Amino acid sequence: MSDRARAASVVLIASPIAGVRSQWAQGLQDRFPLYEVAERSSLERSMANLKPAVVLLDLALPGLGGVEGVPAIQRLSPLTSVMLLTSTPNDREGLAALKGGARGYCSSETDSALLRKAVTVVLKGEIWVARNVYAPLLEELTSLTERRHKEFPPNLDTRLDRLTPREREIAQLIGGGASNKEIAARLNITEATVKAHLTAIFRKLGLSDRLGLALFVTEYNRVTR
Amino acid sequence: MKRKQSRAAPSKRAKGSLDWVKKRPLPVVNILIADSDKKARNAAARVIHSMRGMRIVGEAQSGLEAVSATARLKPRVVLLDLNLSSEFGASIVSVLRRKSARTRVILLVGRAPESRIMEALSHGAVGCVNKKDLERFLPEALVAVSSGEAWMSRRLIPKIMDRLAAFTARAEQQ
Repeated sequence: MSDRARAASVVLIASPIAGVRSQWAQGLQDRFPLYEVAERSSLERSMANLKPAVVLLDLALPGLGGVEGVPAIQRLSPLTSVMLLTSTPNDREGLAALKGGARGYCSSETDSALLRKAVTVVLKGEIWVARNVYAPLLEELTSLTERRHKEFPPNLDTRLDRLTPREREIAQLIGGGASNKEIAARLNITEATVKAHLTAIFRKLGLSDRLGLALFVTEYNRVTR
Repeated sequence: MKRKQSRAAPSKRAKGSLDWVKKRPLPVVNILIADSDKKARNAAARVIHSMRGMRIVGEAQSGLEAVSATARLKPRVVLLDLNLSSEFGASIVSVLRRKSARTRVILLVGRAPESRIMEALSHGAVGCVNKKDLERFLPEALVAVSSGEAWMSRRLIPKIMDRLAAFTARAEQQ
């Protein structure tokens, strides 16, 4: 970030409590142009007129309506990064805040050096959130992914997918312990063709012999079942 | 003989010392290292050996080995090399979780495109440590993940939010 860009990064502080505002301002005032508001109407005006780079928003602000009220504030200045601060942080609310578009969520008692770091990180386009929100965040990601896979089963990205259908058939027969002769008879092809297929299978799977292939197929079937 | 022992134990505690509480062995975290590169396995092992309460219960050199070892040993943590998973792709993480419900997967990432990391996280990995930073970050990651938290670089969070947003957008379209 150039000095000029940093100089332009206006930070808006919104909390009904004067002590909280001055505490937040402490670590930021020598770095960023600051504006402070104490109530919702002035917050709305400042968001619309100042278009601050960052707003530090106290969830206790009267009339905000908690995390659900944030999108309405965000719409007044879509490019502003909203950081939510609360005296009672918890990971579920943190997750909801991030899903609602907030770029930060932390305790309103965060010490000034850390808060300054948080604002800097958010200005770089990252997200600032306590580590205990990471786990519910990933749970959400995993469960949505799993639900999606149930609705639309993905093509299994496996090494066996590199094989042609015929090669896969032969690999499975080898896994079942069949000899080249048996495979040839079963598929109505010559043994030479079976051998040619096997060479291709070994190459594609990076295996060197049929025992390795048999083990691979058996183990593969066992673990993917 | 038996009587003597049963008398000895309470008298030790009766001295008012709580040392026996402090010296009580902590539950040990069992770890499986799954990496095809011996040097990488050794590097992870060195870090783990330097920690208290962490124990390596097995090593795996291929995806299939990792799956069968996880099913057999039910480790609390699997350190999974992201490049190990060629047989399964990133879905190896969900295979591991299916095989052992208590197991948590930490990705060890060398050079890998971010999309692969995201795939593995989507399949349920809860940690991600760069192989270059093992000494610095693996201990933190192991402690966090074995106690039920997640551990990864803050830089991944916006990518995760993007994915979540994409899910929501798709759900709204349908």
